[in-house]
Amino acid sequence: MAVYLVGLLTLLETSQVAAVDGAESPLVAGFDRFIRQQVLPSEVGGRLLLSELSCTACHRSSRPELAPKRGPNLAGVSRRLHTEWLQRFLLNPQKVKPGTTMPGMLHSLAAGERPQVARALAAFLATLPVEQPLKLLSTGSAPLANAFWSKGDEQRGRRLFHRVGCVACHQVDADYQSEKVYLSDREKRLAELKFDPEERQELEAVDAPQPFRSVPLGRLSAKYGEQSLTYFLLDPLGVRPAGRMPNLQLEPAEAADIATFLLRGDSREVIWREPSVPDLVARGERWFRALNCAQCHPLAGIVPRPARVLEMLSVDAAESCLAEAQQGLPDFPLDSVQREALRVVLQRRQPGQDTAVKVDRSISITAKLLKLNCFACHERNGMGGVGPRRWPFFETFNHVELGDEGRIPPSLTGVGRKLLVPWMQDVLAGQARVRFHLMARMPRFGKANLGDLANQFATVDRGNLSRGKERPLGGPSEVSAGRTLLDQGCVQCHPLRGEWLPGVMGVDLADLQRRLRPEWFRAFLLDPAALKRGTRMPTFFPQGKSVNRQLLEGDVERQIASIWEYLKTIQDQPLPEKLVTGKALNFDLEPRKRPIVLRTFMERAGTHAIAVGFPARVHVAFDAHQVRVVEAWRGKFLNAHGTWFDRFVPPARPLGDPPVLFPQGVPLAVLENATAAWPSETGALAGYRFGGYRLDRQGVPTFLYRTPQLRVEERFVPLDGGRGLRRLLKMTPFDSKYAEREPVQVWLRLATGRALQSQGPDGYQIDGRWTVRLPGLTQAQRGQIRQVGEQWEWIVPLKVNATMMLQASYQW
Amino acid sequence: MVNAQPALDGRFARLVRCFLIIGLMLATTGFTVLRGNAAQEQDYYRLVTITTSQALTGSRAKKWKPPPRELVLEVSGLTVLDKQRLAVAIRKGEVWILGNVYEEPPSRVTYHRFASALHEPLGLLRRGDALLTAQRSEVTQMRDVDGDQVADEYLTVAKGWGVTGNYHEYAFGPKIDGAGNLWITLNLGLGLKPDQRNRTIRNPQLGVSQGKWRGWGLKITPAGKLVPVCAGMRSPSGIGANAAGDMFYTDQQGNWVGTNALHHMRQGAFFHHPEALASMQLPESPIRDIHQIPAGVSFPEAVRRLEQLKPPAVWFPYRKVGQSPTDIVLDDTGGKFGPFSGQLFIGEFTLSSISRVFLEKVDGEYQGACFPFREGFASAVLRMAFGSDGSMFAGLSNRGWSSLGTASYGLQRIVWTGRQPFEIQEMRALPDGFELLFTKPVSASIASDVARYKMQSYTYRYQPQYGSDEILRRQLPIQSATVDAERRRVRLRVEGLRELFVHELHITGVQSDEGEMLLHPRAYYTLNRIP
Repeated sequence: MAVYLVGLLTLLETSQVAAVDGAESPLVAGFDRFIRQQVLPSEVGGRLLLSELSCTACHRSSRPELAPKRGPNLAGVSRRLHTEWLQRFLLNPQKVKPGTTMPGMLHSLAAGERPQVARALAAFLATLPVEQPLKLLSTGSAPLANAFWSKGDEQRGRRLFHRVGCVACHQVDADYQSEKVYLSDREKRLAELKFDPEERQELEAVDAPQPFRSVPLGRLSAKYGEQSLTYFLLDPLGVRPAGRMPNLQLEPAEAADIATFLLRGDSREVIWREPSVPDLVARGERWFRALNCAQCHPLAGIVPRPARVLEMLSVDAAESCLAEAQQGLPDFPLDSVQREALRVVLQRRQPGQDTAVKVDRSISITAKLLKLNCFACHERNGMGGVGPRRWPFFETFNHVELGDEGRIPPSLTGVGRKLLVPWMQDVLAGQARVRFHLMARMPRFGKANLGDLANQFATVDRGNLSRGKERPLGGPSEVSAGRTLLDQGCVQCHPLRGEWLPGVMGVDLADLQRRLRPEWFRAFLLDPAALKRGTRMPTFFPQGKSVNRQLLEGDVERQIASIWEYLKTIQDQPLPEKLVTGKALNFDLEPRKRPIVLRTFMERAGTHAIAVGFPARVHVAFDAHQVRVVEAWRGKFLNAHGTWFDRFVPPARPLGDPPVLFPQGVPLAVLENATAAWPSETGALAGYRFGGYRLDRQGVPTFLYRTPQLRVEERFVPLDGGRGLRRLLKMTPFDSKYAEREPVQVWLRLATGRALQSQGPDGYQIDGRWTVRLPGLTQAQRGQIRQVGEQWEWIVPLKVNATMMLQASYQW
Repeated sequence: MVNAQPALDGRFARLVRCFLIIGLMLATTGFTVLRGNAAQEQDYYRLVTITTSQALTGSRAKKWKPPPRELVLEVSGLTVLDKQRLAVAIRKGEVWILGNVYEEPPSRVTYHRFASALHEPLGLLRRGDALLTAQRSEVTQMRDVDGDQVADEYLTVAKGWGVTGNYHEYAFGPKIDGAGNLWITLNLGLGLKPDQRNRTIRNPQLGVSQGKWRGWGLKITPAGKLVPVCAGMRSPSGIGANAAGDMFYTDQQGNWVGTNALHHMRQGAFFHHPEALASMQLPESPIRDIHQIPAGVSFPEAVRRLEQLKPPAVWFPYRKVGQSPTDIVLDDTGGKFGPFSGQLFIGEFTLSSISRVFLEKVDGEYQGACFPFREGFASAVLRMAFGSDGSMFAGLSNRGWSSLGTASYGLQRIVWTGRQPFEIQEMRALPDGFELLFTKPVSASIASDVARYKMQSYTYRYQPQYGSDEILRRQLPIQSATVDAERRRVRLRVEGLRELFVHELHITGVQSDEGEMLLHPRAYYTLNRIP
């Protein structure tokens, strides 16, 4: 690169002038940046112009890399553009939009005739069928305001324009201040540099990205209406299939904002004045054919006239597009550098000379990156990258401090060595995004325009590796060791499966396997800076030794292989411990000083569950629908995430030890006699009515309910040391006067189980698991143990003639 | 009163500061930006942001997380307590009492937790010294008995509807009517899983099954009895009374619901969604004998074929006036909120806005017009309440869905600036057209020009598919436009009015005396009856 700069210094004078004068020559960003500034040879520039100026649309070439860019799709143009603008543009493209690659087509007509032709062409174009416009639906997950294109906001549009990547190619608004990027003095000076290689050398900045002129926009408010510009921004490839204006994947509202900004508030509906007078339309069509417009703007039913094939062109021909504007030929106001570049390439292109030239893949990559102006954002092998003046407008989401890596699109040097081909294809198709912290978005260029770029990257970059430089992952791996290593390092900066530690913002590592080649992963972990200049990724293996000498005996290869292996199966693995803890911290309920009550859905306690967790680490769940206590457990209480924040409200699960289960059915029932079956109905069907609860000073709830005969208050408190629960029942007959004479006779079912074993006069052990006691019972009051099918149950008869209190204990 | 900011230990303080800074930046860069109409609307109705979510992840992110250590004020219920305090229910299941809410800037707002352990409460009402809310499974009355400013009594006021465990079974309310009844509405379940189906009841003739009273509006009498009133609701997330004390609810477009609508809840009315009729065979049902649903016909045709089917008082044409209506509040401020006293305001979820409704009674039934009112809220408007000073609180949460406003939640206040907006204040039906009442005198020469008015009418298809296009559209010629002596009323004679159709009016160029254009030049009248 430097060689060119030094060697061609003599040419600088003229090219400088040309560049400045070039204001009215067609602007091709790659040419401006690399050929004009002597980074790449003229021949590359010539080839670039052949495609970008669509020379090869008329002068066909068999070489795919010279395929013409061509112009916009003209269907629907009358809906998109103001007719007045279109006619002016046809009359003098460079004047209306300085830098446009559209050649003048009417210059060879008599001056008086030109407006008539422009008018006729416009009238003809208005008759073209309008293609189905982009269909935008407003849905719940992607809401869209009514007539959203009319609701753009200029300030917001301005911010988006400068943030999402528009200014990688287009002119920065002089009044716009980037919010948070601080430039060093050197960077500031670089930004002020013009196109002077000498000055660049003085600053030792030969390698710094070269500046380039911005891709022109023209006065957009004269051209578009707010709706048409918004729709264009949403689907530029629909109008301009060549992908030079890529799709930035804007939300509809964002497109409206940017359109409002670009129109500077001068928004109106598209004004199309030309009436479709049949005669005028017919004349327009004749002119469209005569001027051979269809070469660049293909239209169904119009076959353009062929021109001399590229290889047959002579640089010195008297009649030529390269010469001054001539009758019947398009007028390209090329400057001297552009002319020279075309001359060079056409001279080398004499018949027979280059048919045997095999296109070098790396040249083909460069050509593609030049055409699509990928270099505007991406550096590759020392070329291109965000230019110094545009540098401040690349930002990190919320200005989280991640360094330049967190705001500048990544380098493409060695990208084929790093990424797997399918992933590159997804990225290029705009379907893959991992750097959510970058405000600039990777746009979509259209599949046809990208060709086989991903495979070309892979072939070239992997072919460049000298043998032995890359090693596969080695050594037997251990997934759990990988998890530990991630926990010690990676999660400090990287999210994993959408979980992250507080404040962390970076690339999620969960789908690493879909993206990276394992060989690159290994090399990167060993020496990140060697593969990624200026990265913040630290090495955990300084001098090739692991900082963790214990795990897998500090075997570096095995450690790296284990990290890879863990990430490979991460969907089925527990997250690293720090993330698990962090996650639980948010939603695991841990009663500390007071009980915690949670109404939720539970598997056993149902959809009316009320769970009570005690600091003594023993907990209970009540079903307010069946009106009964359902289960109790020890250990951890519940996780509230599903209840509090999950739209699909999954049931909350007891987190601790397996729960003990209270009898199904109502707790109190009237039985005909001691052998009558316990009623199967519960809740309202059994005449029960839940009445809510009261909290005492300590926050312990007392459940309130009614049976058909009694008002009941029921509460649970932990036994000492959390060994179980004490159950307190307070029962009052509705009709206390009557009950004084005729007590309410009900049975209380205390326990059911497959095996009940007597534990003294007042208790039983159930299924060998827990012991239920009703202290203070005499043998007579002890009630019945009876068998029902496979089950045993303990029922106690109660005679309630006034308020009655009972205390049972459940211990396990 | 306790402030919600927990004591910050050193470790978290830095983090929290960092979030506060980010929040400030968001406040200056993201949420507060006004789009389109909002820019003009704010001249008349300005927004004061009391709080909005400061989460780092966008509310539409798949793994949305609440910001650490921030009160996640996903407002699901609002009720004004007094001249300083507002009670706010949040979806997590708590009630917070906010103090100093009227201050500007709202920098000294206090937060105090009054109640907790509620299961997705979706309403809040003050009654005496207690607060009432509908949880998923019951209406609960919360009270502080011991005087420590924290509820210690959670009494069940009503219970007994089906809760299958399906996520979509939200319960809304309560709101109180003129006679002291509490009203609630119950969402239908959507996509019930097998275990949830076990908790449903089934109407085999109509082939529908749902939990008990799902898709119904119910009232709780002052004596505490739960009474089913009307059915056929899909997702009735807003309830409210008009000035006469009659109860209305809003429903959301979806299957069987052509577009969003405002319905008058009254005995025995069936609104649209047939799955609610799973509960028709229950003895308490006031609806009987629906054996067949006229599916796939226009809504007017369905009304003719099915006697129990009652048209909405107002259709909200999709996106033109909202996309998912929520709460209903009556402007009972007596003019403190501008010129719309006695009208209803309707919250809007997806488009983060508020619409306005004018109602009149024709032949004993309500019908009327809707208008856009205010856009640009920071998130979905789920709940509204008028404050003691005549400003309106808007409680925001876009949980489970998405909204134009990009904050996940928040609380804003809408304050009338005192400037009179130039609006269509009322739109009434006449036997041969409509009468418009403007908020200000109009320029008579322009307003009497029929070319300034364009009207079309259309309706919707009553069908099991999701939503409906506007169908059977017809352009209606305006025959005359007559301006009255005070120049505030314009009578439009319109040819070809159709009953049960929406009549959409566009006005262009009509000006007030000061030369202002209408802030919202479109109106949508649901003409169920021609007077």
